[in-house]
Amino acid sequence: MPNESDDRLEVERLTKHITLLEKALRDERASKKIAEQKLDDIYQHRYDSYRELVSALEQANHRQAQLQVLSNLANYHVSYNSTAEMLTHFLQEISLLLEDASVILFDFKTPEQAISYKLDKENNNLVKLLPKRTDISSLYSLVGGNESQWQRITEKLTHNHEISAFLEHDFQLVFTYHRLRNRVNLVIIDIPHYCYSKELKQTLDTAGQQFVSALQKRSTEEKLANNYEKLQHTLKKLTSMQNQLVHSEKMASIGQLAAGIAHEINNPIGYVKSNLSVLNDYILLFNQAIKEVGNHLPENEELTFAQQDIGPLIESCIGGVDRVAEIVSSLNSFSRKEESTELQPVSIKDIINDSIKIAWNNIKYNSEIDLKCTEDLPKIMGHKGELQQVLINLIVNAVHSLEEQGKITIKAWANKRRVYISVSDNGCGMDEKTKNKLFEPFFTTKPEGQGTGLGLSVSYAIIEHHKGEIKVESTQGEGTTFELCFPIANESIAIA
Amino acid sequence: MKGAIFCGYAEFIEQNHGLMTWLEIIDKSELATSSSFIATELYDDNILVELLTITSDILGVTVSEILTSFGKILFPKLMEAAKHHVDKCDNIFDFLDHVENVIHIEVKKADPLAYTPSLILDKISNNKLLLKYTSHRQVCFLAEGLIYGAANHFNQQVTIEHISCTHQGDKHCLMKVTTD
Repeated sequence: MPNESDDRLEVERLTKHITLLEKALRDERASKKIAEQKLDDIYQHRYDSYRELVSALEQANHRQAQLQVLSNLANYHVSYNSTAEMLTHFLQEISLLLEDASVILFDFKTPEQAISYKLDKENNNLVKLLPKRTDISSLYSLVGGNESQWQRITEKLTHNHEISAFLEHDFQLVFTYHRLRNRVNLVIIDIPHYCYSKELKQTLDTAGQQFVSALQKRSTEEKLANNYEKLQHTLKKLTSMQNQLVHSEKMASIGQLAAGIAHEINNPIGYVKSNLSVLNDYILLFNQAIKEVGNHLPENEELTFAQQDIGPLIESCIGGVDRVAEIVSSLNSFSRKEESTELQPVSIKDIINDSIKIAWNNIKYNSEIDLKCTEDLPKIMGHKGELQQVLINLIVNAVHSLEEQGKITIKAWANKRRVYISVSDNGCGMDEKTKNKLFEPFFTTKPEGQGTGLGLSVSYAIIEHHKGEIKVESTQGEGTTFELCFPIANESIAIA
Repeated sequence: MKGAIFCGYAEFIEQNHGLMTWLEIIDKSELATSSSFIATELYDDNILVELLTITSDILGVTVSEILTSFGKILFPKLMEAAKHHVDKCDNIFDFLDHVENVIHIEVKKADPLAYTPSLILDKISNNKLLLKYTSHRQVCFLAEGLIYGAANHFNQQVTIEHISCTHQGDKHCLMKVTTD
């Protein structure tokens, strides 16, 4: 049996053993640590030599992902989508970048009256959040003047209960920009945190700036397009005015020429007419004398014939002279020799009705009249007879343009400043050449001897005299519309 | 995970509960093949998770308590190794702002192309910050312990609120760190 002394020796042996083992373990651990340190140094050295490469690779990976987002946005910005689509796309990209965060948008002129929207990610559009406008002035004041920058709002948005009801998280990311010159948009991204890498935050900033630049570019393009449209309009107006001016000049020259011719013809016509009258009296005397001495004169057939023919000849001459006088009178009308006619308030409706009555004999056989006058048509300052002359002329021309049966539509209406009359037919219409010469004196499409070609030129002069305008639209085979307009008489006498 | 963490953990258990406790833990572990870890190597994160769970069972304390104590002990050692990276920091928030670089370097020293976790901060106010920890290793608990350790190092008291956690099925861990 082992005695106590042996046990003690065994314990001492084991203790010594354990002590030695512990020492060996400590030594082993110390050696391991030295080895690990050396290994670590080697690793450090290896890492140092790789560090630049590794860091460049990491950065490249990050940048590639972010550039992809920016490139998507940039491509979208330059495409021909509407500004609203561009905004929705931008907000969606930002939402995706920030882990599908909710997005609220406010659009306002003054922050007290902001319209709120929410990004509907499923349908890719913005839907109204609140039915009424909301006051976001306190929120807007938190953003301060920092436009086109993402800003972390760390104050709880409890001051606006309407908004806070739609926010899930305590802190938000806010971005403001000017959508138009006096319209601001405020974007709220409802995020649980803003723990993102510097690169991602940079990407957000770049995306925001890119979007604002795209908006500005779009706005500039729209302005340019508007200006271009205005310029086009002005150019069209200028061209039209130039044409009008050329036309007026031409008409003025023709008027001067007509006035000269009228003046030159007037005098000879005057004495020819007067002489013919005297000549007629003389012939009566000669006839009387021949009758008295008739029995004493030898039979002369030629004299008898001359005696019979001279009366109608003189009458025909007087008729011809009258017709020339009439033409001269018309020429005088055209050359504004009769501007002295006094203008007074007249009812266009009455003038139209009277003109239809007068021209009825021409109208009734082959045309149907459709008259459309608005009620309470204001009066214009005019000369009833002259205006009737114009309308009769237009109606008769319309009748002549109808090949068989046709329809003539006469309309009259007014706006605040002018009264308009249109006379349309569904007749043969006119070609461009005819349209260009329409108002020139002696221009006619009628067969020789059937028209003087003075009707429309005189009408033109009358309308000018009334400070009115005449326009014509015509399509061959479809018909013609003449549109007249006259300024309304002074308000005190304008109501019919 | 870097072997240095395992070495530190072994030291922590040995110093506080004896070598036998450490050997017992290793014995019960199915994932750890040896009681000795090499500081410069990388090991499976699940090994640490298992060791912590076994420790919690044997000692009858929560994993969080173990981590807090472990973090306090481990932190000075890690700080010693990485102090040239963070020697200008004098408070926990500044330190956390730089710590990601330290983690990266330590992991990449062992394997230059190794996956590195990301630790990103969002400073809400002077005494509050949000910290997002993204790692497929899901060892946020260690990060939490180390933050406690770091706070202790800088003589600060912190409370950590785990707002979201990968262990609860979230995409990443989000911790709110508040200094007293």
